[in-house]
Amino acid sequence: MRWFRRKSAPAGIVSSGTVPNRAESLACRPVRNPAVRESANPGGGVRLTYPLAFKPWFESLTCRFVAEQQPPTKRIDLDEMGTFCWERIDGEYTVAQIAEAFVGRYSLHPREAERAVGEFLRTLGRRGIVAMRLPEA
Amino acid sequence: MTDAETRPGGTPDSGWRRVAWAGIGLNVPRGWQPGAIERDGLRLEDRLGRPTFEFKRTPVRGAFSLEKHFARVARSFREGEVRREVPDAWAEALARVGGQGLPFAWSAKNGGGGLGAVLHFPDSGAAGLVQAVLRGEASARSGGGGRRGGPEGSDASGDGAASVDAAGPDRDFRLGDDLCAAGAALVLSGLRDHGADGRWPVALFDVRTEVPGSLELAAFHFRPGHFQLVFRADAAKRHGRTITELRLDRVAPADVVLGGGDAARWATKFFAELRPGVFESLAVSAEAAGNESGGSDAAVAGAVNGERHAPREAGEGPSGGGPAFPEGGAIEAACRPPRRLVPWLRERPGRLRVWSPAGSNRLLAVSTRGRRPVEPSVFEEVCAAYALVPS
Repeated sequence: MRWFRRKSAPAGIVSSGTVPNRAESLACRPVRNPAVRESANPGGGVRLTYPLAFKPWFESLTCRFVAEQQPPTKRIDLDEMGTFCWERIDGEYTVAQIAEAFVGRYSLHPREAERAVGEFLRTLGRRGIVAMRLPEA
Repeated sequence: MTDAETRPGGTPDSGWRRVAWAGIGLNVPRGWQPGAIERDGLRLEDRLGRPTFEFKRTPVRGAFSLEKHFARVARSFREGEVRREVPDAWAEALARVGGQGLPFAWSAKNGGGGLGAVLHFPDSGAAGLVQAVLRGEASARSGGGGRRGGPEGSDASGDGAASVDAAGPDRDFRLGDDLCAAGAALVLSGLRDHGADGRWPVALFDVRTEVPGSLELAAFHFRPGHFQLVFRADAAKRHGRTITELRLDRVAPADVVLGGGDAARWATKFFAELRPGVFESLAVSAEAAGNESGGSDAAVAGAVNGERHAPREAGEGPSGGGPAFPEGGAIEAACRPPRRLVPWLRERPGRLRVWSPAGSNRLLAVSTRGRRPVEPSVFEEVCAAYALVPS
């Protein structure tokens, strides 16, 4: 017997159980979170400052006890390759196109570039820095 | 492995490339890429990322019964059907593989299907299993036992079949996205077991190499930017100590990794556990420097230029005169083993060689360590065979 039941996704939202295949993933267009601030990193590359996302109950708790209403932020420094990808996250480039550009710039194996770009975008996505726009049907 | 770019028939063709893993080598369409890599097998995916061809190979001791193994395979298909009737092309291709084989066809309840074969190579004492996933119209016919050239003309009208049949010897051969029985048979016909060759070929992604058959693959990974293969001698498994270890690395992109700095300094940090000592620059032969695809004759000449680069600590300033890799050059260092009080745990000095094939933006490295590192001649052979292939 299950004690908890997973909520079903609202209509129009891709549920977590629906895993896009490789072709669909490569056709996605990553878009930046407008709340992310970008600055030059003194050591080279780009420094991203992004707001931390908390669970709603924790956020309401902190609002009661913390006077400062600014959401806490975190920073992440991108190296040369990360910066190369970040510059192409504009809502126009697809994941496949970014990977192709990666192959062209760094002479990597195409599948290796796809995985590298995919993992990088997944890392940024987990932190809420980018989101994926699904391809139009 | 000199037949890297050959068709199953042996004619050089840019539409095919050689894949070798786990003691099995086969020619596959260039668009196919490894999807899942295991120690004893490989699953290949087509250009759309769908599983399309899979093989496994494992050593067996004593007698091996194809029938018994087939019965085991048939039992594993709980939600499907396994039959012994296969297209003629598949059976003929299996006969060309060598060794003994038992072909079969399978179909799943959801409409998918494919062809398979249980293999046994008595010469090398290994058994294997091959499966090809057929798709679309061709799948239904082939999986159902349709025969090539039969009354129905079964394979001549499918999309995948058309792409295979249209490929004349002068055309750029490329299998269609939907693999059909004829295409699967073509791939199977190029499958070879290398267990009895005394060499262990590896050809995946953009690297290929050959290592002595006395070494066994102990660990590997193909992470973006860093591929690594670690081979160890059999004895290491029994005694729990590293008798002989051979490690091959491929690092990319070289310009980012090196950052325009000192190659010896980078290698000292990257291979820290090998404890490389003073690096020496080596000259590389023209074949190694200029010909990526002619890997078998790509050799690192043993001529030492006389340049020596002491490893630097991470905190030291910029490269300070230590050169990056010269075009097509290499650096080599003796590795200092860790000190051990117990005599039978002491290792002998190992070797490390790093080079960057010209125009590749990649670094290749071969290293050996252990109580009995590989012989210098073997080390040179491995370095010569370790090459990049066009992706």
